[in-house]
Amino acid sequence: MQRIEFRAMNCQMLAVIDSDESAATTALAEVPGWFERWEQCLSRFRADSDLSQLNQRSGEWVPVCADLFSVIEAALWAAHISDGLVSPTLLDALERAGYDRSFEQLASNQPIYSDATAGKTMAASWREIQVDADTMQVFLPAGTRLDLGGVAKGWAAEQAAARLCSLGATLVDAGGDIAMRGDIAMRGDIAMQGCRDNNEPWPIAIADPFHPDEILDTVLIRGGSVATSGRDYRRWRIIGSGADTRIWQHHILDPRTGQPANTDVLSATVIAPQMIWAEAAAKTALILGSNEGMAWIEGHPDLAATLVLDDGQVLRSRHMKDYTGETWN
Amino acid sequence: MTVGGWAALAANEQPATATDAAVAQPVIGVTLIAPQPTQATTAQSAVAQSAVLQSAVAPATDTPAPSPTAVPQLRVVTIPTVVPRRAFVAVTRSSK
Repeated sequence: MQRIEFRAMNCQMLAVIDSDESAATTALAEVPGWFERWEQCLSRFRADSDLSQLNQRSGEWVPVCADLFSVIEAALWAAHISDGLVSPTLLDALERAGYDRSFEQLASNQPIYSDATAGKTMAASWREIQVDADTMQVFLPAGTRLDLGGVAKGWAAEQAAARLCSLGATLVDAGGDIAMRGDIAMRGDIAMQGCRDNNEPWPIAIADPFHPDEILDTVLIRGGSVATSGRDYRRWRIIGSGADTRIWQHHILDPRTGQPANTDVLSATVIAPQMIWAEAAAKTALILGSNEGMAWIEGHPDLAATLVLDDGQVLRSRHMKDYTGETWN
Repeated sequence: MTVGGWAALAANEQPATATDAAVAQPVIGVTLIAPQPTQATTAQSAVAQSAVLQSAVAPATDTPAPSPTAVPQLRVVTIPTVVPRRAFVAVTRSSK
């Protein structure tokens, strides 16, 4: 097994190929370059990125590159399956909440001023975004800007895994969003791609959101994807427009309010056949809160989830046992 | 009883066999209830140390385990299943 670790998209990245061949070594060395190109295309923090240029041209049809088109399609799908709870149209609200610079800059600064509580008008609905696959063009409603955030990160993990998997079973971890590719493994009638040789599982840890250097759970996964969404990272303190408002904000917005989600779920980890499904489900469960969120998870038999609540409770969906009760090899 | 068997006993709250040792999840976090605080602490430490040994060389089947008779009247309450970091290929977390 060979691996490479590096920083990209303001996250720690990891790529693993279950092979000792030199071809795998060569391929892994290329992965940081792939992520740099994707970041240049998809980052809202780079003024010259393809995404930033699209955001400057709302109200008209704009031709975009294949990667940006693909991520926008994924973001719209995430919005569809989450009934709009995971929306790409929240950039204005994110910036009003204070997330107006890369998190590396945000984390190093003093509390910032924000008008998050000013209650400005919500952005246009994701349903008003139009895409044309034949001409590879995108139409954003006037005044709408996109933030592809976690969707882009997950998409990149899955893309990299797809590129590498001809050399052996592959795992790519993009800041905690983990995609696996390899042989097909079946969980019941659900196909999970990414199985290693001899049906050996990938051992993956779920970090404890209360103690970031400790492990809450271990799951053994034979394919598919894992994503964690939480309020424990990417949060910042703001000084609001009110006299004494000095509060913590986080980056998971509830599109129904335009504010950081007011939820009892501190972090949500979801295992799913595809990365975008895991990513969307984790955010949805977090935004909905423990009761409604877990019910939503249980309504989808191809999902398994662990929710960690503010009070320390850990809730596991019924399918999570499929990943925790196996023999260690 | 083997180390793994001891861990399995703790995890399952029921007697374990040598076969259980091979399937026991490695454990490093243990909470026990005992009549005396020192009794619980001693047992907790013994079980945790055994579990760490088990996870480091898993599956372990031959290492002597602390005798259950040394810590009578104990009741296992919770066993977080945690394994050494080096055993993981990756860790999922919110973005870092």
